[in-house]
Amino acid sequence: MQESDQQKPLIEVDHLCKQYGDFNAVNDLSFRVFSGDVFAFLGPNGAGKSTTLRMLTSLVRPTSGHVFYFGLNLNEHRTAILKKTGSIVEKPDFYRFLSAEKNLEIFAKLSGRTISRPDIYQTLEWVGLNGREKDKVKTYSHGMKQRLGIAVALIHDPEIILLDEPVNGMDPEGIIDIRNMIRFLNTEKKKTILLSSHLLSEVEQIASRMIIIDRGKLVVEGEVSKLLNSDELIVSVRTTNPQQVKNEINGTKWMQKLSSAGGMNAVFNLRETEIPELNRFLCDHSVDVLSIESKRKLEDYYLKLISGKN
Amino acid sequence: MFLKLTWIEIQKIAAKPRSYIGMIVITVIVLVILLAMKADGTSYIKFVTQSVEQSFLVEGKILNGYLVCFIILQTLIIQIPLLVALITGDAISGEAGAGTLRFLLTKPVSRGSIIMSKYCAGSLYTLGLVIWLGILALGGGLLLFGPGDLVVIKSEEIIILQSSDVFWRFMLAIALAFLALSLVGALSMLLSCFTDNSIGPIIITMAIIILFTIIGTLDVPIFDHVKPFLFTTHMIVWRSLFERPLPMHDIMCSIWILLGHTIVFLAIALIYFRKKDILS
Repeated sequence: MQESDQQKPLIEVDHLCKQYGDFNAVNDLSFRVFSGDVFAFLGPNGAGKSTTLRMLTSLVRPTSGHVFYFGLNLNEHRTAILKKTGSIVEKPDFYRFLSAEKNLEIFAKLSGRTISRPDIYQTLEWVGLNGREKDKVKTYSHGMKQRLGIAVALIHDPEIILLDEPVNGMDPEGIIDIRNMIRFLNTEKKKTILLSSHLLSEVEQIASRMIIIDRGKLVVEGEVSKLLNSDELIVSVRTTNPQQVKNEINGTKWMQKLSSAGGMNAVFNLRETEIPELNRFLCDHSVDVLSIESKRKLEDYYLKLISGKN
Repeated sequence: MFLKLTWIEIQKIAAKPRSYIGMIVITVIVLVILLAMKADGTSYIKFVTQSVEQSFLVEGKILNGYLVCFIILQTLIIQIPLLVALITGDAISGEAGAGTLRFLLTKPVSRGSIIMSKYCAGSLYTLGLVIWLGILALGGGLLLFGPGDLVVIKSEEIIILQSSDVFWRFMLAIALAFLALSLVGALSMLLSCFTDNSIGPIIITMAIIILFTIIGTLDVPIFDHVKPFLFTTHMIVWRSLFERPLPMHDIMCSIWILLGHTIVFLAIALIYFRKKDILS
């Protein structure tokens, strides 16, 4: 969904801060989520994603700043807002000594809407838990609990769904299922989804808009397609002699595009179409090219961020 | 929504295996005491009455259902707060530790109603526990030993209550025991709000009760000013119902103090929990 001046945001986070003693978990964070978005909240571990989600679900009180849903302040209209949202914060946990059906029934009763038994069975079937409804949750795997968590988040048909690391700890098949569920909810059921993740590849496949936060601060914001499909690439040429590369490109246009040369790598900032041209140039000048790897700038930036090099 | 919440909390208590520990413990203790009294109750009565036999001639059927019930109530008064705290001390912290509190609080229910519904469900459990104790102790006692006059030996006097004058006292004693145990429920629930570990509130509740009981029983003058304000002093108010005449002023005073403590504990729990950041 394209952001426009005319469109009012469904969620508006306004200069949100959360401080624990001297530690700023979230620092002046502002962003907006619009109707129809699959909005991803990306950041390395400890970036402040969960703290922000906790503030968005009223589990944690902001030190300063505000959260608005549908133009209403969460602090003042908590109950009315939570009726229209479904969320999983961190991993979904349930009453282990009760069945999935009973757990879902309990949370459905608290959702503020009348939920029938067929609704409960239908939702359990939709998340792939049919046949295991009567089993106690303590016998469930992590993936099954995640599915039940999604069922709890959806049972009252909310307009907005907030998911914290929805594919965390799941097997590949489960990841694909959850990804498809999110796509279906967004495209077919017209739900607005805000999800957090530390996996850029995951966000790329699901989200329409994203932000990256680090140390509680917003560092990147925009449409996923624009941010990740940028023409600019970081191209790493692995060679036996990077100094030879430097000598050969001296005085050519490639010199301006060279970012660094050290070890066995010469790193260039290039557009995708320039890669074959550079390769031909190096081969023509008898440079032994062992491999050429390219990364998008954002991907490289994010990898540095999560490895703590940024 | 509040009734719905309370019903949900009752269902949760009913589904937890630990909820039945209290019932089982009470059943076992009461049955052991009843059988022991049936087997060798006369020796026990002789031992208890030997101090007053020099001054009084004790005759008639002293060992009866009412006396056995009275003995059981006195014996179990220390253990029952632990059985109550096992449930109410786990109410918030247990859910925080298990992660379900997070899910619960993202639902459109107020934090105040969550605390109050948990307290009400815990109180209903306590009531069930006390009624079960009453049924077993009084019913079992009357079944095995039959009715009779109740002889209550206090430090400096013997009180004899006629058989027809005892039953209502036990009913009120059970009601007062419930009031005292509801206070224990409120205290352990308050402590439960401060932590994510369910064992902590249970242990601290018992530690407070034991500490206050020790202070209350020590004959040290410095504690004399403190004793009337300790809730443990008033938790044994049910015993006053077996005096004649009834010390109504003392009983009412104890009731108000027990109620006051319960309200204060609940109020602190509500204020704290409403502002608490849920980080579990």
